[in-house]
Amino acid sequence: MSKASSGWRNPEFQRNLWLEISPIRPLLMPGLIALLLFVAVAVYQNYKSPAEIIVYVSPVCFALLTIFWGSGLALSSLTREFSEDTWDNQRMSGLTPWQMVWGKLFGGTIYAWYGGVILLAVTAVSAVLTGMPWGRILLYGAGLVSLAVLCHAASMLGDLTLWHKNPSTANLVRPRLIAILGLPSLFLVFYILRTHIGPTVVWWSKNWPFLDITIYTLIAMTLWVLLGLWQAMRRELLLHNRPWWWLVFMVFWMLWGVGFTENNWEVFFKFCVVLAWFGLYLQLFSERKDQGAWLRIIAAWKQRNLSLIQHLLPFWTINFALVLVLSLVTLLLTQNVSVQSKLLSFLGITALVTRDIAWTLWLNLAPDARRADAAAILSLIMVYGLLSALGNLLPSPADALFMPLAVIPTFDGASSRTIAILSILVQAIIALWLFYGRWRVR
Amino acid sequence: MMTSQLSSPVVSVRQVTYDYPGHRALDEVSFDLLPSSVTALVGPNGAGKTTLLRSMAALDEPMSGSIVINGLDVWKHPREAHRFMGYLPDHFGLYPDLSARRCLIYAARARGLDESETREAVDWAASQTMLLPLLEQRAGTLSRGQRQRLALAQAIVHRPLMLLLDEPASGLDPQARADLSDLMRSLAASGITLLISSHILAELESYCTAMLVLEKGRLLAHQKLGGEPSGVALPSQQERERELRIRLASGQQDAESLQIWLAARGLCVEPGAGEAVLVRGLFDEAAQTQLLRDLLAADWNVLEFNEQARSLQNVYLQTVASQGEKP
Repeated sequence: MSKASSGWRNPEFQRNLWLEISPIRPLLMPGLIALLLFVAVAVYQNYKSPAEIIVYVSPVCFALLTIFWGSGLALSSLTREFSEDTWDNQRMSGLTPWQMVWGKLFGGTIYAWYGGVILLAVTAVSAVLTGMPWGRILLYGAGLVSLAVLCHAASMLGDLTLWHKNPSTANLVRPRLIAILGLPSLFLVFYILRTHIGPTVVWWSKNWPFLDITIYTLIAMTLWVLLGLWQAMRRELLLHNRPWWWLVFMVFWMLWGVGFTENNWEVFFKFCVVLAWFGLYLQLFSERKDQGAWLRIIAAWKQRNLSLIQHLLPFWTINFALVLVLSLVTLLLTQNVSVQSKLLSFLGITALVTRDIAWTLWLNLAPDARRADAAAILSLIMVYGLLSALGNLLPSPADALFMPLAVIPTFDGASSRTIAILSILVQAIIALWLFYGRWRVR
Repeated sequence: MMTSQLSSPVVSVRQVTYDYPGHRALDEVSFDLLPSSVTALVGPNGAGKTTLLRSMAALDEPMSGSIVINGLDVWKHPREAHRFMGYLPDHFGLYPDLSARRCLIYAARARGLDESETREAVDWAASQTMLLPLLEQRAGTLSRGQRQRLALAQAIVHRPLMLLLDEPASGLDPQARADLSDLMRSLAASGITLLISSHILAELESYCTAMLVLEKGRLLAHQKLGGEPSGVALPSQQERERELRIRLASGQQDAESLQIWLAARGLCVEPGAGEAVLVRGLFDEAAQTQLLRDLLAADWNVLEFNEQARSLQNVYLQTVASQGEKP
């Protein structure tokens, strides 16, 4: 990185400032905010004091302005590079991945943040006037800022992932929907859980206010998404990544989860298996799976280029290994099941995951693989949902043929675990055979 | 494989293979380019021209092979290689809401130039591309030809050693094309090595010194054009190959008889425009003099005997045709 483009003199940030800030716009924003708050106070003045009204209205305005609109701006700072064909120039520039990340993340959203900072200041002053302690104000402020950064970064990360996977078919609406609706909704659900769990929760043997732990989790997730965005940007700027940070990410959330299990290791490992399984499908459907990607790995292997292999290795392979290892540990910890049954179940789980992966890869090797992942997701939903439901209607032991989850020893829905495992084994072999056949042809 | 034998190439491409799913875009392509050469990259649609340029620009990674530019393997050190490389893609990218000056300032700063270097670089790139009077205009308001020049200015603002251009003349009006030709000559004179992909061969002819012919991902030929020193070392037989145009005085002798007479001496002949006969072969000056003596000794009424400049179009078509004849 050159001296000229280091620190705050980031050319990418400066370019976004040129685009986003005009002489008029900085004057408009405070006027608009003042008008909104004035209307809110005028409407509700008979019910509450102005400070009480503003302390509720300002965060809502922050959410609309900085989180929702800001996510759109953050995404545009990236999508415009693709649509205006400037992305190749940026990839060939001397900008570092971190300069690109924060130049776009805060440069592209600078106007939304300008309004957001005003709203946060107004909220803080109003909160002080209503008697809220400073500690609370800072925590809530950190939560709001974190949520905004998370949504902005996640929308950019989602878009960059789709672009890397297939530039020609990247649907740029999806990452926006995921970031703007998905992530806040996730935390909304998390927050709603409070009504069921209570105002406090035990985490790592300590009682925590539910909202506090939510905000700490939010901050942690924001940092991880920023790291993910930085890694994705490194990849676009032709720098080699290591897959281990993804492993660390998975382990971090496993350790986060163990805090809630109160030292029940069986529950903990089950949680870890589910998390690893979720990560497996998340990466399997996010990453490139065309033959070119595989040929590059094979070429790197032939050259014994370990650095390149690590860079090219799909993350789902790490999760595949994690699922197998964690499943084995979980099975060993499971009570009241024979060793033979545990080993059979492990064989079944291995076949189950292999079948899903081989099936998805087979679909992605089709001559026209544009909708391969959509087809894979739909078919897996049918297999796990519809066929399992139909299996329930069949007489014993035919029902087990259609129940993939019957390979798990604690699953009680099917009449015969052995038939379920045999059925999955046959399906896995067929999926592998299909995959191998298409690989050879192509 | 066709590999030029060069003393000190600035670009060395070896066995580059690039596969798209179900389709090989580049098939063991190898060639060298010397400094300050201007090479036309020609071939039909789908020949692999853009893939080759993007691979050389370290944007799309080939499956195998190596691309060394200025002594650096671009796929082992892509970020370092970008420092001395410029690339103008087919759909050149500009920021339409920024002024031309800000576009260039951003390009220079993003390339790592400091403030004083940036001022100088912007002025240099703008003057090279004749954009000085337009620097305060928004990029989006410029004509296509002007935007194309601005994109080129962005690509050269850091004074690269190697410039890769993908269809730079496409969509330009005749005046803009003429300006582009002047600009290419000027850039080559300033020491930049150029590789230019284009369909408009007549435009390339005015400034290219060599030609790479790609077809179906394979390199068919790497040839020097005209008699100008191109900086491209070519196989010795290529170096001496000439095309002679012979025309007889109108009268009793006809061009067809001359063709038969020349062919009987093992020369490669074909009819030319205006009742002339074209002779291709490994003619150095002595061989040309001897042929003229033989013609006169055989009482042919030679009115015209001269060496033809081989047009890019001719060379391309001959190369493609000769490859087509091979079993």
